Amino acid sequence: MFTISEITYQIKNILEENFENIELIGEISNYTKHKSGHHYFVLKDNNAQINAILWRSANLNFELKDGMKVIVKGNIEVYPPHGKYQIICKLLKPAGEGDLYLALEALKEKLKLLGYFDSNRKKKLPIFPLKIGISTSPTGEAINDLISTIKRRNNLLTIYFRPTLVQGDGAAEDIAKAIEDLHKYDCNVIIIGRGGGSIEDLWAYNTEIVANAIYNSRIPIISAVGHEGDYTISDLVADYRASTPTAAAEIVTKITVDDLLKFLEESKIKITTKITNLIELYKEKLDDRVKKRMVRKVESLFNIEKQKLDYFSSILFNNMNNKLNLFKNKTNSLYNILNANNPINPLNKGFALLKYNNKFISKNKSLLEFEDITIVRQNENVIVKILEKL
Amino acid sequence: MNEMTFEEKIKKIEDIIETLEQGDEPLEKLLELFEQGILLIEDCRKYINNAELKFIDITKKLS
Repeated sequence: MFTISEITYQIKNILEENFENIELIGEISNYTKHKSGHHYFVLKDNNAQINAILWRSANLNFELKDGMKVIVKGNIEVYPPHGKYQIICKLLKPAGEGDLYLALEALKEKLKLLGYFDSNRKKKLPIFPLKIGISTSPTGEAINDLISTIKRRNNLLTIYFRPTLVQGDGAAEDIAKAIEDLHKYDCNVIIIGRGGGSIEDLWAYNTEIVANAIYNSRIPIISAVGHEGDYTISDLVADYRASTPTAAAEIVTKITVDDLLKFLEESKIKITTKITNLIELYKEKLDDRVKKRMVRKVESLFNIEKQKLDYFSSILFNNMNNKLNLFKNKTNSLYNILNANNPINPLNKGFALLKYNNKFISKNKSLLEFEDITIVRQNENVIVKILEKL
Repeated sequence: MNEMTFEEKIKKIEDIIETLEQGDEPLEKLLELFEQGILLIEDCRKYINNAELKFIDITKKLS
């Protein structure tokens, strides 16, 4: 007789020894993602089902969904407390193309909700980048296309090439690491990409790890996964999507060296013209203003001096006139006084004057002293003889 | 007289006017002063006119 534990552990040993590293194909149902990040689901086909666990540590490159057909690789384990067997998945991948699309759509939906595709968080591409980071396969045409296109259009650019796995196991992780590595070189822009291929070939660019690396990048990223039709996740998260690596190379060299030289030459002319005009304008203004002020100042000085001189001149003339008038008046009054005392005056009234030897005879002299004298009247002079005193 | 500056000449004219206004000097002396004043004023006018012409010349060259 066994105890429950004994039988359970015997079953556990038998199962676990015989079903190690097995591959199962089945459809997912009852999928739950635990808060811890571990995935719990049931794998089933038409007639049977098995519980399955995928630990968080397993790199799951897409979202799981009920109804999705997947291939898992792992070990059958028995969980004694529940008496149940289950498969612990180490690898899980979509079983067919339809399932890949399903997984892709699920991841897209999730990232969209997280805002990864929002255009307002996308960084602007530099207009004239000097350092360009490239992550693509070292073999294949993509790298040749990129380098030759960039060098042809702008040979001033420095290219940092990080050879990267672009498909197969570890590709998604390597792409994410490449983005991180290229940050060390202070690139102005990073191009991640590859040539076209099937959805499986491009799968790495549809993974969450790559989406996160792009989302968290400080440097603008161009996704150039060459394929027609649907965008990859990286295309949607990237700041810019180019349809091919060559198109990406053209975007980062939008302004060629020739364009730049032309722009610089034009700018030089524009700036020179502008500055010359400004200088002329100020010169004119300054000239005008300073000149006007100076002219006004000097003119007013001249006016003051001229007026002063006119004023002085008039004062001088007035004064001199006054003085002259004063003297004239004095002279006139003297003349009048003199005139009043003119001895000729009595003649006008009919009186006569007596002269001897052409001299007036003074009143002290007696006329008897003279033999003859001249009587002077206004209109006639006569000589008379003195006879005797009466 | 010619060694005097413009300002000195103006001062001299002012002095002459003051003397004339007081009028204590003899007429002959006053006339002499008057003549001197008029000559000084003419002198200053000439100076001012020359200065003005020079100034106009300079402003023409400026523009």
